[in-house]
Amino acid sequence: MQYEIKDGEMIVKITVKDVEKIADLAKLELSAEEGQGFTQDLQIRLERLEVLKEVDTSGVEPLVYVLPAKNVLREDRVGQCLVQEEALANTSEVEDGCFKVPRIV
Amino acid sequence: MRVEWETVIGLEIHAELKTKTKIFCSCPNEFGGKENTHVCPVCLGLPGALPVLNKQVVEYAVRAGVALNCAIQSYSKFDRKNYFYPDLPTAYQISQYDLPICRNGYLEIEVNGEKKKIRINRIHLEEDAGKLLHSGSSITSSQYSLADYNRAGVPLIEIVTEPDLSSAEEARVFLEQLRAVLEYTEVSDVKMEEGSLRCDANISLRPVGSTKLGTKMEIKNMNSFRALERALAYEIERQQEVLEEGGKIVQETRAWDEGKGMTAVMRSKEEAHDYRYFPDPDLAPIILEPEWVEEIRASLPELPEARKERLVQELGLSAYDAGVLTASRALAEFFDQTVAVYNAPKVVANWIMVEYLGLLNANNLELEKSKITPKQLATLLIVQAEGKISGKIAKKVFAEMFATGKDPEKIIKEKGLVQISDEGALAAVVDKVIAANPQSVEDYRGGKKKALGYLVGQVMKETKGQANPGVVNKLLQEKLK
Repeated sequence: MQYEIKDGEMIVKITVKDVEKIADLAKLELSAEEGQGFTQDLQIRLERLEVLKEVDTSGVEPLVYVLPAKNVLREDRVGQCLVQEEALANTSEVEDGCFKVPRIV
Repeated sequence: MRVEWETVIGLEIHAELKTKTKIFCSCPNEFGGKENTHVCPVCLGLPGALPVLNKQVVEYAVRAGVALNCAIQSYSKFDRKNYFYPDLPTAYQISQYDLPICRNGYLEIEVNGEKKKIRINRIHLEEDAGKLLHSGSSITSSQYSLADYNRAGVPLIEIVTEPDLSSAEEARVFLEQLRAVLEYTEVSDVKMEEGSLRCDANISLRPVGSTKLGTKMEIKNMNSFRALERALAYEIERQQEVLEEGGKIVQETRAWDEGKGMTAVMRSKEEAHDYRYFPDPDLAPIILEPEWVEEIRASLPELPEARKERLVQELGLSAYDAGVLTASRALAEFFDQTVAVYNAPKVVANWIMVEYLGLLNANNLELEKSKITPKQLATLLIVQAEGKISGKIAKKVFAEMFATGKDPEKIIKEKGLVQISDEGALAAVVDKVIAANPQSVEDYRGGKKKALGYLVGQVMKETKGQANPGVVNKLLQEKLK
């Protein structure tokens, strides 16, 4: 990531490399054109978010969870499981009661 | 000038919690089971399924945290650790990133008579992954893999130490002590062979006196206390060799190979780990009320260190004996309950450590599955102390108790093992032995006091060990005057 000074403020500059790395981590294949497009789009979005800096957040705790819920807990009691055939129903390949997956590395 | 090296080790320990159900769903938390039968839409990551946290998991994590002297955090939350690996069907593991449930604890260990505090950086909650079976002999030569998600979603605590350990032995002792704490607090089964307790290590070397940490190596796949100690000892030597030849340690993950007795580089994905953690929007934060934490604290049993201290201070046992007896809670309870009936701590300690542990080890049996009760052992020791049976017979009776679970008195009665202390009954045997061993009698009378021991032995043999050796001794001396 690169940085740039604009109107006396430091702003983040997204590069094609950043986009390629994110795409790689997310296992997405992008064409050169798409890479360029996402780079510009992300840049515009980040710049829009700059407006948030205008809000005075002193004295406001960082927000971790948006809903008012806390301690949503259940008792430690055994419930219903799927039977093996149900568990495997959505997968294309099955062997020995297991999900068969392509080679990993 | 020759450089002296010092070793810096930190451990990451995963312990499966002993709950009835998984961490975020009500599937059973059980070892084994037919493949993919302990699964539901939540732990299979099916669209729309929502995780709900198991209350018992929170309680166990707090118990472990309190027992390990941690600061229990009033606010903690769950995050998603993103990675593509089919051991979890969601492509992320629910874990805790920046707000773990416990922080800043420690555990005191004792190595070679010296006490040392090992700091614990954090304890966090997470879900276990499923099991993968690779089609080839290793992951790299496999054409495909098979995924069983019975273990996916089993609750884990991960305990991360500071790099405070400075030898392979210290690491092993720490893990043993930690295991004892987790066993005493009953939060985990702590069975390394079943994988309910797992340990990874980070290890580096640096010149003595340096405060900068060297390049660290991560070691995995150490499945026993012995493996941990051996793997670290091997790694210390290996790294020292590399450094002394002017080489450099490159950061990598190595796996311990128990059969070969060495570590080897694990092939891993090329890209650097970048898990892109973010808060799990499906799970509400955990806010712990101090009252609940205090309630849990108050419910903790006496912990291994305190128990060991009590055995040394109040019962006069050696630190070593106290350490052996308190290594597991079951053994410590057995000892206490035996002493409660027969108050001779040192005798009881010896019997448990030599006879009982000997038989348990020889039969590869866990104490919990043994038939002997503390009351039975106490009774046996009382009978022996009263002189009704000899020490040798007591061992025989104990072996029989171990095999059958019968009461000692019953065995003694059935097998007619009561010690003979009656002088009248023994006199005839003594006379017989004197008549049959003229040479020894002559030797004894000629001043060779040792000969008496031989004669006592012959009487014991004649009576199949039932004669009271003290009485035999006295009778022989009288008759040979």
